[in-house]
Amino acid sequence: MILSAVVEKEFRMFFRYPLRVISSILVGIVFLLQFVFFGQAVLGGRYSALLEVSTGMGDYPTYALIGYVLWWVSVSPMEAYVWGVRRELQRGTFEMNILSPAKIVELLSGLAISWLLMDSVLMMIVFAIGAVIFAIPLTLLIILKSLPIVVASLIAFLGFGFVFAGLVMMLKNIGPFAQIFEFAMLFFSGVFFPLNVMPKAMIAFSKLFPLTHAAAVVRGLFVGKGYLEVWGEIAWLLVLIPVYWGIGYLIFKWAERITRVIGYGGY
Amino acid sequence: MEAINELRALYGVAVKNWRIFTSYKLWLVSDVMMGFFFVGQALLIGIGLTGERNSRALQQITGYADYVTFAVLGFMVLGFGLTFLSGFVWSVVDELYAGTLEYSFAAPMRRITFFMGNVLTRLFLSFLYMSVYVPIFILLFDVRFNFLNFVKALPFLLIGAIGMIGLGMAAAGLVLYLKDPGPFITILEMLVFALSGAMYPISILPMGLQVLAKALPYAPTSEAVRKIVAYGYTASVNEISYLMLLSGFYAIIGYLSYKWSEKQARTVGLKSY
Repeated sequence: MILSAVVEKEFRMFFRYPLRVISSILVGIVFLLQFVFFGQAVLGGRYSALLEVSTGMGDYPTYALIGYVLWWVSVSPMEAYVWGVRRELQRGTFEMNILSPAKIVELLSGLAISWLLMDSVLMMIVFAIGAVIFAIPLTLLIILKSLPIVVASLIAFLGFGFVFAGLVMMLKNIGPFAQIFEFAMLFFSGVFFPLNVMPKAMIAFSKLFPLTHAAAVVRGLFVGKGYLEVWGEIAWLLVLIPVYWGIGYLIFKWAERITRVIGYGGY
Repeated sequence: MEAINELRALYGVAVKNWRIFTSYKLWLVSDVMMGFFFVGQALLIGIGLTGERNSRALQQITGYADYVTFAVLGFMVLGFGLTFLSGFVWSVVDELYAGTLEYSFAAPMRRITFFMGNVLTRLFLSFLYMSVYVPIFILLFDVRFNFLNFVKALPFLLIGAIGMIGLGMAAAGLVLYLKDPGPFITILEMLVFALSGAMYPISILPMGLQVLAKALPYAPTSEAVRKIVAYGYTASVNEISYLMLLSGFYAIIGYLSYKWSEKQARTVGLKSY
């Protein structure tokens, strides 16, 4: 009940400013175009034989579009905690929400879920526009096959972002830290380039990010592979879901204990 | 005497902005890191797609085979150019959201002093970042360009800056009249970003977007700077002439629209939150 109320509040606040929605979509498209056009200018076209050998997908716009859309959604819960909580702190409404007869974990989960859903809607639009701009061949079967993986990825991303929920309550302004982390994820998850160009230690490190596996599975499905052929990546994704939820919960409880002593604070 | 007072006010605004910025030290780290992410991505995309450090395809379009150098120059012009836009518009928005805009505008200084103070801090930061980036990019990413030609290109970066200031002033005038200017500025910045030619030659864009890119001062500045760095002045006469013409145009438009918006603001008042 409280969860749905928070989601409804966030949706209303976001969609009541149509220009804000348009600007968010535009940001999504422009950021994507920068890297795809750069890749195409360097390649002199859209197909890279080297990319196909290393990842199984040679069409660069498709490769980048899948990774990019998933990256955007993956950082969404993190952004919700970092900026959503900070916004309430600045407006002075955070304390009031904490004092309401709702569990703080419900409030924060509602925030993360609503931002994740909003970003998913935005990214669906960006994906559709990207598919049109770059003439990416799509079939209903590919989309349907990708859906369960996308849902599993969203659950993993929520758990991953939960790690930040406690930190933001305690440290308040961690926006720059989150920004650095988000861009680091672009690197370590091979969003715009194949991971094999990085040193082995970094490739091993990249396995810790749910996004790495989510992107690999969806790309695999797009080139016609079945679930069994990408089972290794799916298994990684499924293992990381409870791991990140567990780590996130423990950090959150620890941060909540400390915050109860030092206060939630305002701005 | 009046000039000295304005200079003191300018210094005061710049110092205030500097203090606000440096009170969040991690922002500085985050801003500097952004340059490395940008150029690092360019390098890894190029290596991942071609397996080589140079691109024949890019050379055919732009004259630059080294795609990292191409991206570095574009990134620096874009970073420098956005300084003016953000100095003019984000300064208004930040104060608007903080509820201090009315007070700042009521202070005994010209409004242009307020804007230029904001620009000054950002300009200083922009040069600070460049002084960090250039040597590190050369060491880390093996960026190669003729340093003498790079210095020769700087005056034309400043000529481009006149046009960018003009655009910033025009945008600042608009921002004063919007209830929620944040999304408008984001849209404007994204247009500038997409059409700046920072990461790719604008000739690969559809014709309509190419025309739009040519009409804004950013891509012509990037093109002129890149061409001067690669080939010197003589080969870049066309780019230089066009840039001077465009910058002059934006300077006039910016000044006129700024004067108009100031006049309007005196009649209808400023808004606050």
